[in-house]
Amino acid sequence: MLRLAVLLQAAADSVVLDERTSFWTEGGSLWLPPQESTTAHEVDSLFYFILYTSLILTLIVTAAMVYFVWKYRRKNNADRPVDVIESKWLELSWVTIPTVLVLVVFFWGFRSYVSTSIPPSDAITINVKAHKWAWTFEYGNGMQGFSEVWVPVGQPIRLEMTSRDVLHSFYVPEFRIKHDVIPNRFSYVWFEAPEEGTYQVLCTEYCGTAHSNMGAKIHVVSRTEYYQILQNGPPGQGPLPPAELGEMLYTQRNCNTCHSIDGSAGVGPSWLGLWEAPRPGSPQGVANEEYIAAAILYPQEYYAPGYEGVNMPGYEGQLDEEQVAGLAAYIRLINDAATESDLTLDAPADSTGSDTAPPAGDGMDDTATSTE
Amino acid sequence: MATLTQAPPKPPKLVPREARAYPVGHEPVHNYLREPRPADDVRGLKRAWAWFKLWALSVDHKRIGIMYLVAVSVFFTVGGLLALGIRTELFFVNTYDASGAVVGGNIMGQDAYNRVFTMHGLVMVFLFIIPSIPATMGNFLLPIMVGAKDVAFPRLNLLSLYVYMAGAIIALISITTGGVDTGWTFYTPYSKETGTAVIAMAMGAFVMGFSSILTGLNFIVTIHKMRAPGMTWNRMPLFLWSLYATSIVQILATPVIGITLVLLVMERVFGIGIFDPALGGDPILFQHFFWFYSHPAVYIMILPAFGVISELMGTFSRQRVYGYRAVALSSVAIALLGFLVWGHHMFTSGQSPVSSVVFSLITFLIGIPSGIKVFNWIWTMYKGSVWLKTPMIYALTFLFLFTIGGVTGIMVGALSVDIHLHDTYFVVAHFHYVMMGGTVMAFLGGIHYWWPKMTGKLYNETLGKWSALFVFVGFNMTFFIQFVMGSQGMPRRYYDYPDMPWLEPLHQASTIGSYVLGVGLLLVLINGLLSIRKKTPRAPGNPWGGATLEWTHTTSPPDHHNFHHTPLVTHGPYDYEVLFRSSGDSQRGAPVPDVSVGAPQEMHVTVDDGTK
Amino acid sequence: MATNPQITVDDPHTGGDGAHHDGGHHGGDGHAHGEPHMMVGHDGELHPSNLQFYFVSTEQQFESAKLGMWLFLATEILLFGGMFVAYGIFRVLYPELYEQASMQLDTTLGAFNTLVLLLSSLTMAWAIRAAQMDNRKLLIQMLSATIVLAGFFLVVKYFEYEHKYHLGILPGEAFVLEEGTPRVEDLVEGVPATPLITFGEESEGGDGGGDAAPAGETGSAEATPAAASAAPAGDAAHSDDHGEYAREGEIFSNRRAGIFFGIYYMMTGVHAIHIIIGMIAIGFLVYYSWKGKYSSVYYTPVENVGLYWHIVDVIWIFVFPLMYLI
Ligand code: HEA
Ligand code: HEA
Ligand code: CUA
Ligand SMILES: [Cu+2]
Repeated sequence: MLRLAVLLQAAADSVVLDERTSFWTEGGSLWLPPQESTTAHEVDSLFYFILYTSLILTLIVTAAMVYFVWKYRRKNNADRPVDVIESKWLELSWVTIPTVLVLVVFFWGFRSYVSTSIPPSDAITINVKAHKWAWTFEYGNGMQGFSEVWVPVGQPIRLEMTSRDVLHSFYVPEFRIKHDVIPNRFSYVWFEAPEEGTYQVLCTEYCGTAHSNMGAKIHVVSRTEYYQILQNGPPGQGPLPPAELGEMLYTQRNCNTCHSIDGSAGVGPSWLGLWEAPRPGSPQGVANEEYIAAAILYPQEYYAPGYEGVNMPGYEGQLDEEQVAGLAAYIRLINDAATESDLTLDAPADSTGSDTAPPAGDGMDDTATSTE
Repeated sequence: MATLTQAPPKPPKLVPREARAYPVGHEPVHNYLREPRPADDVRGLKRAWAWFKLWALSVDHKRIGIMYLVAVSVFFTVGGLLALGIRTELFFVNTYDASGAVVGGNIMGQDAYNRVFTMHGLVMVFLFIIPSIPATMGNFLLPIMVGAKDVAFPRLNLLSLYVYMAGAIIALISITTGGVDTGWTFYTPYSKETGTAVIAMAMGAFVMGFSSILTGLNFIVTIHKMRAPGMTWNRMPLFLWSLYATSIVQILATPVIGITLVLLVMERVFGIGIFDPALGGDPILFQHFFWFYSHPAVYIMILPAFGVISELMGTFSRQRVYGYRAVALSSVAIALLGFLVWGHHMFTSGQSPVSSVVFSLITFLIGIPSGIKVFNWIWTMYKGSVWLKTPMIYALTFLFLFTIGGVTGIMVGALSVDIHLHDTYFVVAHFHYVMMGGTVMAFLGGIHYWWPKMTGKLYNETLGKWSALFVFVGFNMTFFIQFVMGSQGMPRRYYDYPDMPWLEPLHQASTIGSYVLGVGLLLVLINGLLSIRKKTPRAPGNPWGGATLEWTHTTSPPDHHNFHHTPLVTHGPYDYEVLFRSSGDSQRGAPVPDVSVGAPQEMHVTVDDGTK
Repeated sequence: MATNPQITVDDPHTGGDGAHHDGGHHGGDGHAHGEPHMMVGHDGELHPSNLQFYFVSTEQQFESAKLGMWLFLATEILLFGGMFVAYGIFRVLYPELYEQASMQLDTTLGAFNTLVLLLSSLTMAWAIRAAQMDNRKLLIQMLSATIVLAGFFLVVKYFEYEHKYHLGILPGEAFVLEEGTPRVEDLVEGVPATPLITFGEESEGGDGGGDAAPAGETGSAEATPAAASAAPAGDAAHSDDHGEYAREGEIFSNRRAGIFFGIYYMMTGVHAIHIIIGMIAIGFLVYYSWKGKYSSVYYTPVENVGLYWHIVDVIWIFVFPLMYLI
């Protein structure tokens, strides 16, 4: 009881936590996570309506059941049923009452569906590309965010989403939005976050090995901060020494799903021992800087011996030159072959390096041609 | 009455010792379990082989039903153990080292997990639940309940068993060739890219579809053409009505999954492009095709369960099933409406919003006939005589769990709410409540109820009640929590929940619940095995006082041609009153007679029905 | 109680020898030779030899078999129904393309095959008539004629497939029909094979259908301005994909055309499998009628296979215009 009171109090305060740490959240409830979008309450009110109606119905059903079992329990071997004449009114009532209830629920659901699915006309559009197993966000000015996106508070945002490989689904529990992301098609969701904070994006359409690790973060920031980020690039993604950039990408882009760095076998070859390992596809015969770059961008053309046919997604158009070089530097680092320039930040590469990466390319093609 | 029948001559030598309790002339001498049997002079291994052939090649619907029962129980155990694997994996949230490699909290890798839950879903759906009630109890009881000696096409019936086995083997081969990791829904384009075992699995499911069609076809023809004299449609037990509705769905929906799976295989083999967006095809079309079958398929799973529950509620309340006609026709209504709602699985998939709205509306309409059933069952107990035996306990469990499963179905059927809940554990909980809490509970209830009929032995009542308790507690602990997890945002098909570690305690409770559930089911199994030992006493012909033909007109276990005489049906399936009257004790309120295999009741066998 | 004196005829255990190890068969398959005759079941009663023990009467058995067959045919229709739906949807999505693809099919051969199948339906119906009239010789002749016609159908089908195979008209991703390949009809009419269309290879960055080349058709009625075809609704391919599909409405080297042929091969292939199964079934009928199993009293299998055969024909009657004509 006390807990409930605390919860209700918390709901009223509607304090936003940066990230959830416990199951009992402030602003949330037993059933639903906190409402962090302008449309969340529409979904929630219907949810609770059905929940409580169902609860009452289930209780009635259970109570009737238990009562009858008790009242009419067999007391005697020779117990005889009493002939019961079916009551038209009773039967009619359990046809009409549910009918009315479901029609109410239907219209309610329909109305909130319409009002939550049409974005306001002043929404800003951000492009979202899903691929195994990460999300890339692309702003109008060409800035990209990998597995992270920054949006201004109190502003409708429309996401224009497409996939490079298989189906994914974009889900933010706190916003109550979800939509499948489909290759060769655009789909849309929109939201408006009234509070600053960081929210978790989850992939809810099964997409293979690392489906459960295909998260992303939505940072809702103040308008000024948002414009700053648009100009200066994502915070924390400023210039990094190549090897460090590579290290970050290794986890951020889920390379670790298939490639270990301790020599253990995985879906793909381990990166430990990769540097200068013999590779038939390389002009020099070994895995060097060029080879690694090519194998990341067009994996289907450069199979490592023993891994032929493994379906690694191609990163053409998803990683720019600097990032690919960073990964190569990281591979050198774990193989103790790092050079001075791998570890230092030399030429202050312009922080929005992604500017130069043309958002082109056709990842899908790789799967289509790989059978040749 | 005795003068009406010329009493058959009594063959004194043939009466087995146990059968003495039966009315003269109606001893179960031709017990289907033993008859036909190898000739007496065949001995040793040869005898075993002869026995095997007499069973494996038998076209007797009862033997086929028993063989199906063994097969689906094995697959249920396999699927259940895989489920325990799923739950155990989710017990801890994984810990990762600096490089992102998993260092703890897991028992299997990501790919292994994906295969495990896919196999769990596929085994449970295609190998277990679709054949579960129709192929076991349906096969065993349908001909008896209509008063026929067998189904219309006994050899097709046997064929369906072997087709099912072949499909199951093909499906299991896919595990040895790498396993399938697509989820049981086979969504393209993922299913086109991933490992090649998809082909074997899809073909396995395709082949099993034939078996399902053959069963359905047999049932419809049997019900239409082979009812005994007097068995009008309105005197059919509700189990038959529900099997009839199920068969309609099996026949109309299964070919579509068949062609869908063939197209999927062709997609993989030749790249025909229909479902592959890279070739201009449409992955949403695949989903439409898949759900056009798979939604009606959920009614293939639940309708037979409805039938079992109707029988149980009637017999154990010793009361006519309230609103017989409404219950019968609502099965058919559900079967037909069920064809028009498949799109409710695709609200977030990108199908047109208009169709989403229509699908949502029709989805809700299905709640109405389902409600009619639930309320009628409950009212059946009204002024009845409720006998709380194990089957009845399972039936009441069904009512409780199915209601929860059903109303949460309404919840995910509401457009805007489903946007939030789709593909989360809320949906997982919903469908386990209807499939495990609904169908499997009815399956267990039915097995207990007809166990004496099928095996001739009574299970242990105390052990039965204990198992029901464990199952009830374990089930709710496992899956109720999943509703909460799901609405809090836990997506399904997740190997790990690194982004929501605060869900760990809930996952742990759910996992522990699944172990309790496993113990309960193990008790069921043990109970069954104990009961078929030699020393367990034989069951009487009608231990529960049922009024349908399998209780009133056959011995336990039935004769290999079911009836000595084709029965003449003179009353409804739940007219328990008639049983009293026919026992000649209408006024004094004597117990329901035990056996009345078409013979005058010169002899009453008193049953200890536990109500002293 | 439900005891009735009248209904005792089929009690298998009265007056018998007590032990029946017959696995459940009273009547007998394989017992029947020549004219149908009555057999003594082990209940001592007379049964027609083809009446299974679990049926009460021959009529019941016949009606059951027929109902079963109809239900089976319903599943067949649904099986093909799935493919027809797929066809319809893609037809709506890519109408121009489908028209062009359809031109690649040889209408003459298709029409010829339609006639062959119709004829085979006729012979099948005739065979049933022959069975009803106890004309065994005619029955065998008509059944054989049906098999021959079916074989004819398959041979023609084979040549159609082979021709397409050589041109590279293959399903889905294997589709490689090169520009300038003449249509079947052109070959038949002896029109010189000229490149029908020329277009710039460049289409990267082009906006939608804008870069579709003007269709310079060589005097055929089906001149199709490809530009008319906007990108299909719902298919908002990203800009970098346009190169691939921009020539919507043009079939050559267009992967999407492969879908049409994917459906074509699936439908006609599955249909051909049904024809083959039908031929096998009719083969059995020939064998058993030669053995004298069928007569005006018992010809259920002939009737049922006949039903099956008609349905297979009817399906073709739908496949033909949908695929070849429109
Ligand atoms: C036995 C199987 C079974 C049964 C019977 C049902 C029954 C129902 N199901 Fe369920 N369902 C599944 C198995 C089943 N389902 C499975 C396996 C999935 C997931 C598939 C996957 O994605 O893997 C699924 C998923 C699923 C979804 C998609 C969710 C999503 O993915 O987002 C939806 C949405 O509408 C839904 C709805 C319903 C409804 C409305 C019913 C109705 O038939 C329920 C009707 C019953 C009642 C309503 C209760 C009794 C009635 C009363 C007590 C009267 C009072 C009631 C009211 C006034 C409403 N189901
Ligand atoms: C009939 C259908 C059915 C049944 C009965 C079950 C039973 C169970 N299921 Fe299953 N489940 C599905 C159908 C079913 N499931 C489907 C279709 C999916 C979706 C798959 C997908 O996403 O593709 C799914 C997915 C699924 C998930 C989600 C996985 C994920 O999304 O990542 C989970 C997680 O908890 C789960 C758990 C369980 C548990 C604990 C049981 C328990 O109830 C199991 C209990 C059984 C045992 C413990 C066996 C013990 C038995 C014996 C000891 C012998 C006794 C024998 C007899 C009595 C004959 N299931
Ligand atoms: Cu991406 Cu799941
Ligand atoms: Cu459904």
